[in-house]
Amino acid sequence: MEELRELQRSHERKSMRIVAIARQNWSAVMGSGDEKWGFLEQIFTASLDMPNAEDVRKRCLQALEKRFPNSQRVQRLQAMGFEADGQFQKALDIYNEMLEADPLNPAILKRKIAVHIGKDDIPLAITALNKYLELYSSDFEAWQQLTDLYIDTQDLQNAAFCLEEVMLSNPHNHVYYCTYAEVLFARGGSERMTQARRYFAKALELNPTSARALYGLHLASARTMTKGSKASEDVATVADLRDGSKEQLLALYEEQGANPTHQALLPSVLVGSGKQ
Amino acid sequence: MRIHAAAYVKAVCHASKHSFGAVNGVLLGLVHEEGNGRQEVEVVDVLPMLHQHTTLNMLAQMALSQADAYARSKDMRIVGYYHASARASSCELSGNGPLIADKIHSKCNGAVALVANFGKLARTGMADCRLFEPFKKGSDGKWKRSDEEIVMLPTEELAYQTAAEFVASGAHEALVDFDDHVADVSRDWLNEDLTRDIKHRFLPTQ
Repeated sequence: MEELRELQRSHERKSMRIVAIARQNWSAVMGSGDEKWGFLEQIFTASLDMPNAEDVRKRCLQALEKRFPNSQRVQRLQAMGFEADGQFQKALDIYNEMLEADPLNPAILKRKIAVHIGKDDIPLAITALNKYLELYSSDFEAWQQLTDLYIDTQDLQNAAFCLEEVMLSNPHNHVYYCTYAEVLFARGGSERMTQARRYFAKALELNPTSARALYGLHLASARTMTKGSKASEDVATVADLRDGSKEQLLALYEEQGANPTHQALLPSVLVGSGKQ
Repeated sequence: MRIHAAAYVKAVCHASKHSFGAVNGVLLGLVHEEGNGRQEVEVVDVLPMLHQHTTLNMLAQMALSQADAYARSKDMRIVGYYHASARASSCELSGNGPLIADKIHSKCNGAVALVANFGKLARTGMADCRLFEPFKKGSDGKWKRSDEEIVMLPTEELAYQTAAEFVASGAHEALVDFDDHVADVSRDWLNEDLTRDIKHRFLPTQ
């Protein structure tokens, strides 16, 4: 049960593990007092990710329906079951009905967006998610989901905009700075490459052992040099960044005990990347 | 074309570990020149690349450079690319797959793309079917499904059964891709331990 609690806290999507725990400890789950309902919801959701877990799914839903017969929350779970089975219209019918009574319910609005994604109707999902964010602009999970959708569809300009929102409210998270820098890097052009370099450097400042930021800094510096930097940029400074990041990477690999075979490859790869 | 089972198993592990999103990786191996000008690709190993933001190219570029260096250190080359998309329904080389595959093809014109077809799992078990389809670049420049025969080495049964076993037991979670590696460089991108465990399955039993 402790593992279930921990997974609830961490939000890791370890569905296979959760279903296995449920199968092996069903009586413990049912005997866990008030916590039981939270566990059942968690196990139900996990079972949707797993093949051949309909038995677990049914048991959870039956217990929840019995205890909470007219619950909206349980109804939402039923609809998610339809989503998992690909019965999207049935799910949508339930969500639309629920929205009639409560048109701005954020959880239901997000389920509808999930249906659009499930049906692979990404443009519709993006439109709906933008509308949702007009109402709930501080929902960072939603901003992240929108960022991912834009990145997947290679609309990098909008992805950058979403990331700016995410970075504003999470100014200490190096991962977002790195992703933002990678978006700039992917869009290309010497100004963006210079910007990308700065964001990789910022990510590195927040997390000095980020190999991802070091690789980004290295490649972005090398790129800035080959494509020609702005006149105001000191070529020597950029070269220092390129060489400094290479040194730091080699040192990091050594310190962290990376696979020696892999380490041995690095000097040739890092020197060569400036010439692409 | 020929595919070594360990390579296949690792690709399946990668796709299974991140079944909610897209994953990609490179195929390493050899190209055999046949007498009549044809090339036959032999996929000996895979290097898993990304499971997040597969359309962003910074990490992909770095992974490709390192994969190339690794391949050459083993007297091999990059012979292709593999890709599993988030949707089971489609079996197409989508997103920036064609871009990466094209880049690989420019250095290896027998290159193959292996695209996951997990939709098959709705009808049959992982132990009984091949989950990747071969794609080749046509004369019109587009990547299309190929009907070229695939020979799994040592055998098809071993390849599919081992893949199924590793996923069922959760052993596939041990696979490290380049995304995982850059978050913690002590995690072995070359997956030497996992590869050893997989190959152990192929030893004849006493």
